[in-house]
Amino acid sequence: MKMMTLTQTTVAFVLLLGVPPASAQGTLALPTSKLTQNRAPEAIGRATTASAAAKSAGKLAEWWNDLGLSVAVNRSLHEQDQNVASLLSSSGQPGVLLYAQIERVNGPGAPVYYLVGDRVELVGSGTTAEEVYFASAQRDRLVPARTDAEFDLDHSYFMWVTRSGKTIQVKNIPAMFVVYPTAQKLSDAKLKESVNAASDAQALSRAVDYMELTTRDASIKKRIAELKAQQSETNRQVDKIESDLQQEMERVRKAQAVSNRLATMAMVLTVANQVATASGYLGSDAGPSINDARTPEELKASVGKMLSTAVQRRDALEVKYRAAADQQSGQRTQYLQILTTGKYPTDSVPQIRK
Amino acid sequence: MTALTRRSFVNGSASLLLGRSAILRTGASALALTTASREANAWVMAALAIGSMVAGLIANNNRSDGGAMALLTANYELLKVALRKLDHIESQVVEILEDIKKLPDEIDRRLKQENTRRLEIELNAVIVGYIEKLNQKDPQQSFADWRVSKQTMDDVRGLLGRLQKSRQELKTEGMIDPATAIVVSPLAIVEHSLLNILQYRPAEIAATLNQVYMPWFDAILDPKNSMSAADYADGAASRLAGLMKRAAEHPLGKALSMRPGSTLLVGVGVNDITPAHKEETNQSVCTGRNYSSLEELEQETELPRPVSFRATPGSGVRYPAAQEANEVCRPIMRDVGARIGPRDRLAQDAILTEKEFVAPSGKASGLMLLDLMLSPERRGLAGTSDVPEDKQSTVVNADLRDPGARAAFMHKSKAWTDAHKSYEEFAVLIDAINAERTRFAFGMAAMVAVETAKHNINQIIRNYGR
Repeated sequence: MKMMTLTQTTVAFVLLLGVPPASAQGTLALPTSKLTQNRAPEAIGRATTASAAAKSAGKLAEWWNDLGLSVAVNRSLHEQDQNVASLLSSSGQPGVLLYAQIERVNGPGAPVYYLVGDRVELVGSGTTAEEVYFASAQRDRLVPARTDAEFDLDHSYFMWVTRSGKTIQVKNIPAMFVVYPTAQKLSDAKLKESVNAASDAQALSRAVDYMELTTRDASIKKRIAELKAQQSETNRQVDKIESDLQQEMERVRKAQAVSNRLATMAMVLTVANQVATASGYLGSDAGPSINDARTPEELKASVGKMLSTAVQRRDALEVKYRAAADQQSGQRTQYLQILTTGKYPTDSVPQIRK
Repeated sequence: MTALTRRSFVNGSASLLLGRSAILRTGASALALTTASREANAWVMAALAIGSMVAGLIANNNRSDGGAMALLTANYELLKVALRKLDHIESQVVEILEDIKKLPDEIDRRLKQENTRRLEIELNAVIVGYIEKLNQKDPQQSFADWRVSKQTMDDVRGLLGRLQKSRQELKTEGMIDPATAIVVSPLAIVEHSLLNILQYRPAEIAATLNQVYMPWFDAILDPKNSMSAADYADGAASRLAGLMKRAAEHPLGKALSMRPGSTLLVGVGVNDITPAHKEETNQSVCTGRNYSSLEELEQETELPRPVSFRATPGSGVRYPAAQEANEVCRPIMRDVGARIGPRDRLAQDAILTEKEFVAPSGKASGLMLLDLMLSPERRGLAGTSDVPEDKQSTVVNADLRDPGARAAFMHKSKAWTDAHKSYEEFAVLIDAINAERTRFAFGMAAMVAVETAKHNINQIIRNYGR
């Protein structure tokens, strides 16, 4: 056995396979061949424990059996039952994600399949299967891998465990449906930041709400209430700054776009058309000095002034934004402290523990 | 608007390219290759210059709300006016896209996506359908009632379905070129109008505008996208800068400093001169002597040769026969001075002007194009004001008394043909400059159209958010 860095390897593997391009609507089009071959049937099982629910999903159990993995999967799920139940009741999150990752050894005959690490991995609890995996994939972790084994994404899949009353429901999700989008997200830093921040904030918010609702410690309740009030004010400030910043960045973008092309415009267009083009492009941001410019030189000076003013404002807002974001970060730290004090299972909620 | 043809373009654009066409037809040294290229550039200029004007109309229309407010305030007449205006513009877009399809240059390949034309045709059909629907309204029925009637909703739902189906099926993610830009910006406004009339929830309308059109607009405006309108405009600007540099380094560009004006293209001249020489008179000088043979006579005598001789048997050569024996006669020569005829000169200028492109409809476009022309030939005698000084001309002496022969001689001279070859090279550069200017104007106008639509849609989204 050797140790492999799981997340990096998986993501690299997926990227090598080629991340399918995002369509205009941002949904992922998976390669058809990947969808049709060797995919586990979609199945939902319901029972009082996760392992029993998985077993009750008939087609799913058959699938494991065909791969020769039903004993290993059932044993591992059984071992995780307690942890899963505990997380479902103590995290305040809607679900728990399990990952049955498969590795394949190609021998002289038929390939042999194994569970990576000989167990179903408990990824953690959180908002959705994709978001939990995404948060978890931010961290590298070491897993044992068999010599000559290859990760087999086609045969791997996730189980998303939720609870409704006393019933535990397990839904299987082909790994590629989660891993491909995750790889896509990881390859897009901007998207990663926004999705990360939004889903993590949602997870933290759920945890805090849950703590506020369930704790019997009055001081914790009080601290949470105070922090929430502070946070609300900070969020309001951040929203305002973000909105102003967005507008200012838009102004900078437009002024930059016009400024970059003024020299060519002066060569190609009549003065009236230069002014009309600049005014049209800048819209309501074009002040009278741009709309009433009478020479290319006047136009250049006015656009230059607008650009430098917008850049200054943008820079000032960025400083304000960073200060407000620091405040938010401080509040997050305080929330985490409260969660720790209240014995919240922070380490098992990847979206929070980072 | 009539369909744009090369003929209507050339006729309609006054003298701007007419002069060039005349030169192309008559230019003695026009090369086949460059002629083809210049014809191609003329097409680019024709189609895209008008395209940029239509894009300007679209930008103006996008600046308005395309009838959104008329809808909200239940102003039936205003909505009809807005839609008719849009229909008129879109009909022009259909024609422009037809013309763009014929552009020969590889640079413009991105403008010729079939899906853009199909999207435009669908958009146009939806606008026409929308207008028809409005026209069918019973005058007795209030606009508010008409708007919410089942029949109206069903018909408008059909129009929206058709528009959305085309948008979704035509794989629009790669369509970010300027030609698509002038289609997509009104598309957004029309779709919004239809969603609004169907009373979609504000959040849904805002989501459609935000998720479908805003990223589309951003991609069109992003110069980092290699097929975008912004990249098209910037590519033209970059090529234009390179061409301007090349033109400024060309001898004619240097002489003109690449500014409107004129410069001497070529001056040639012929000095009609017959050099000084000797000429026979009709008088002779005779000397007498006997020669034993003709050879002896030839050895001794000098030119000019004797006018005649006769051999007399037994008495040697007697010459000339008519004269006395032993006498040689030679004609008397006289000096003739040089003849100085006319000092004929021929010159031609290259004229560079810059004019605003005027569409066949007579509408000025705001686009400035260069026009390079040859002046009429100037012919006159050296030293007169009609022709350049001799130090600026290539002059040769030749015995050419006939004025027609002198003109033909000057037209065939190396200096004249070399200068016209250089002119043709420069003209090709000027045409390429004009083509890139037009491309820039088209790309920029398309960007303005999208930017104004983006601004407008942003405001609509904000309004829904309130």
